[in-house]
Amino acid sequence: MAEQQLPAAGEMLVLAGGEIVERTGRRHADITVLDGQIAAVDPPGTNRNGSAHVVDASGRVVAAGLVDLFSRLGEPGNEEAETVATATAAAALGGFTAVLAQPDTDPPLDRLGQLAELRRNATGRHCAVIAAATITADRAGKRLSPMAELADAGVRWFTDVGPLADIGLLRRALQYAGPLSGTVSVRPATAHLGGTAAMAEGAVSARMGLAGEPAASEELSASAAIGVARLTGGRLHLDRISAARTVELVRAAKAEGIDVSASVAAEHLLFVDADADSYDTLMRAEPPYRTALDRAALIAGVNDRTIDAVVSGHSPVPPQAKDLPFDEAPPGVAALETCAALVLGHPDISVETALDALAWRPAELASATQLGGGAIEPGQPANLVVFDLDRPWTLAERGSVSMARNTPHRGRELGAMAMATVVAGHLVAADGALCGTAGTVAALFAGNTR
Amino acid sequence: MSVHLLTLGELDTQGISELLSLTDRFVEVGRRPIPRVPALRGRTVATLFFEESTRTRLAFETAAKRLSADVLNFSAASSSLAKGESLRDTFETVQAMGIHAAVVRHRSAGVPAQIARWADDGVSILNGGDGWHAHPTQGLQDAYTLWRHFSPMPHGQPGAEAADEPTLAGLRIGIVGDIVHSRVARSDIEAYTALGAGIVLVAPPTLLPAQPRDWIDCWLPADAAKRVEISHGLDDVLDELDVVGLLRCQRERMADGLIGSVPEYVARYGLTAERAQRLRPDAVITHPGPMNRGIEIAGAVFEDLAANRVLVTQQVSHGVAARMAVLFRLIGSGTALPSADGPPDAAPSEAGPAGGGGA
Repeated sequence: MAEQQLPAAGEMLVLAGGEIVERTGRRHADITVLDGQIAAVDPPGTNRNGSAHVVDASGRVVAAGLVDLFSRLGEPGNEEAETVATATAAAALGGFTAVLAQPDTDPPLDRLGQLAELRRNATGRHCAVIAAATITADRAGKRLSPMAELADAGVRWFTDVGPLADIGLLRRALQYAGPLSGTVSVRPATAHLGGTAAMAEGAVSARMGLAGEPAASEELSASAAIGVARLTGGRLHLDRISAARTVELVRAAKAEGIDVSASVAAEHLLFVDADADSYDTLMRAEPPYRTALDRAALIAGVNDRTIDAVVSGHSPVPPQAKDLPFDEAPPGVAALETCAALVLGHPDISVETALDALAWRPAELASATQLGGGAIEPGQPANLVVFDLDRPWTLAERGSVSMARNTPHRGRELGAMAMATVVAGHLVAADGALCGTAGTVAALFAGNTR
Repeated sequence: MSVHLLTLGELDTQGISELLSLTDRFVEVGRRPIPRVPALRGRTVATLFFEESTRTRLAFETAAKRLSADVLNFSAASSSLAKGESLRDTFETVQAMGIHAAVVRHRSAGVPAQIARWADDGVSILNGGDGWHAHPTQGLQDAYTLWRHFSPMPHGQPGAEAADEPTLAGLRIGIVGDIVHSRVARSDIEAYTALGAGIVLVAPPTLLPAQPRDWIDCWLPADAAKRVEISHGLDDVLDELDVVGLLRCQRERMADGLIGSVPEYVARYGLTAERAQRLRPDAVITHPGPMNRGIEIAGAVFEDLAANRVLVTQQVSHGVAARMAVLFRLIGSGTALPSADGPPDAAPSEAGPAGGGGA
C-alpha cells in the first residue's frame, strides 16, 4: 500500500469540522495539532492557519485514539506471521494509537532485556506499543517473574496470556503487584474442564464430533480469580471472557467493590459456536465462540459497562497454519484493522459505549492516557482518531497491511471506517492508507510517562 | 445430491433411499462370477488415509475396482506430512495427479469438509471417517444390512416388487456404548432415523455428549429427533430392541476416567450370555468392528448365536456394495442404473453394472 504524503515536520495539523465525542459530551470543533500536542480546540471554521495540513472531518466523529488491551505483535518468535512494524501499521489503520503487546512471545517477555528489545523495536512505528510482562518466569506458571524490576522499568500489566492454573501463585502475584501499581491479567479457563478445546461444549460441538470447553471452565476459573482478588485486594483483569455467567460474576464482584476489570474480544460480540459448524478454521477462536445467549450477555455487559474493554485479540498466524485440521489449527483472528470498525458499527452498541470500551476505559486500565483515550483539550498529547460511522467497506477491497491473513472479515462488509489516525501529533493513517510513522512515539512509551 | 458425501445428514430420506436401492443392484453384481462392471472405467479414485484403517480402505478400494476405476492409494505413513507439509499441500498434490474422487479419512473431525472446499470442480470428496464426526458409508452399509435383514430382497432380485422401498420403520434399534467418541454412532443415527426407525442410545453419561437431549434436538429434524431416546442401562431396554448395535469400547477411555473398569462396563453394557438369553427371538446384533470379544459381546454369545442373528459379516460384505453405490452416484454417469435384466436407457451399454456384467 502506497504511503501518503506526510505533513512536513513542524507543520500544523487541523482536524476540521468533526463532531468530537468524549465522556463529557459531544461538540463540533476544529482541533489544531502542533508539536505533538493539541494546540487548540476551536469552534468550527475559526482561526484557520493557511499553511496547516487540514483533515476534513465534517460529518465524522473525532475521538481520542483507541487503545487495544490485547495484541500479539509477532516478535520475537512469530515473525513468519507478523512483525511489530506490520502490527502497529495495522493498528494505526484500524484507529488505534496504542496497543498493549502481549508477552507470550518466544522467548516470553519476562525480564528487562526482553523489555528493552521490544522498546527498541517499537520505536518510530505507526503507533505506540505498551509492554506487558509475564506473571511467571519463562511463562512457565511456576514462580513469579521479576515483577518489581519490570515495574520499576515502567511495566504495569502482567499476564501469562491465558489461565494461571496455580491459584496460589495468582494470589501471590496479586499481592506482589499491589504496591507496584500493577494489574494482573488472566484469561479464565480450567484445563481439566476442556480449557484448551477447539469449540465450546454444547449441541454444536457434539454434532461436529469435537471436544468442547463448557462455560463452567471459564466460570470456575473466573470465580477463583475473583476470590483471590477479594482476598488480596489486588488489581485483577479478566481477559477476553466469553460466557454469560462470567459476566454475572464480574458484575457481582464490581458491586461488591472488588478491584476487577474485564475485557471481551470484538468477534465474540458477533459470532456464535454455530458459525464454526463448517469447520472453517478462521472461526476457531480463543476462547471459543459460545451460544447466542452468551453473546447477548456479553453485549449487555459491554452496554452496562460491566465489561470494561473490547479488545482486538489480534493473534496473527502464518497462512498455512489455518490449513490444518480444525482441532489442530491455532485459534485466533488477525483483528487490528477490523476491531474498532466492528464495534463502532455494531447495531446494539452506542458510539459512546464503543469509545468507552475501545479508548477511554482501556487507556485508564493500562495507565496509558498519554497514548490514547485521553481528554481532547489544549496541552494534551495529540492521539486522535477520525471515524466515518457510515462508510461500508471490506478488507478485501481496501487491502490489508497486517502480514496475517487469518480474518473471517475479508469479504464481510463493515459499517464504520477509521478515516484518520493521529499518533503523537503525526498523521499516521488517512483515508484507509498509511501516511508514515510517528517518529516521536518512543518518547511517549508507556512507563516513561508516569 | 451434492458432489460430495460428507455426512448422511446432507441427504434427505429420499437421497438415502436411492443409495440403498442402488446398493441392491451392486449386491447383485457382487454375486456374479466376475463381480466387475465398467461403470467408472477411466475414472480415478484416490484414497487419502491420514489415519490407518485397513478395513475401510479395502472396502473402498474393492468398490472402486469393481466399478473399473483406477485407484491411487495415499497414506500418511508414506507421505511427506511428517515433514511439515500442510493438509492442503498434500491434497492439492494428489488432486494434481488427476483424480475424480478422493476418499478422505482423518482422525480430526471436519477434514473432509475442509478438503471439499479446496477441491476443484469435478472432484468429489467422500468422507471415509473423520474423528468423532461422521462415517457416512458405514451408516449406509449398516442401514442397508438392517433393511435387507428385516425386508429381504424379493426373489433375490432387486426391484422385483414395486413396494420394495428402503425402510426401517417400526424397528427399535439400540446403539450401545461409546457414543460420544463414535463417528459410526452419529452416521447410524442419521441413517436409521431417516428411514423411520426408533433409536435408543444406551451409554453411561460419560460416553454421551454432555447435554444429549440438546444435541439430538439441535441436530436432527424434529420428527427424527422425537424418535431418539436416551438410556443409561441396557437391561432397561433390552427386551424392546429389534437390533442391538454394539459400538467398540476402546481401552483408552478407561485411562481418560470415563468408565470405572472393564468388568463394570461389561456388567452394565456388555452383551453377556445372560442378556443374550433375554433378547427377543428375532433380534439381531450389529458391530462396526473390530470387535472386542469379552467386552462389548461375550465370546460365547458371538459363537452361539445363529449366523443370521449376528450381522457383522453381512455388514462388511454390504460395505463394498454401499460404497460402489456412492462412487457410482457421485462420479458415475449420474443417470439411473438399468435394471438387472434390461438394457441401459441413458448410457452406453457398458456404463451400468448390468450391461457390463460379463465383461
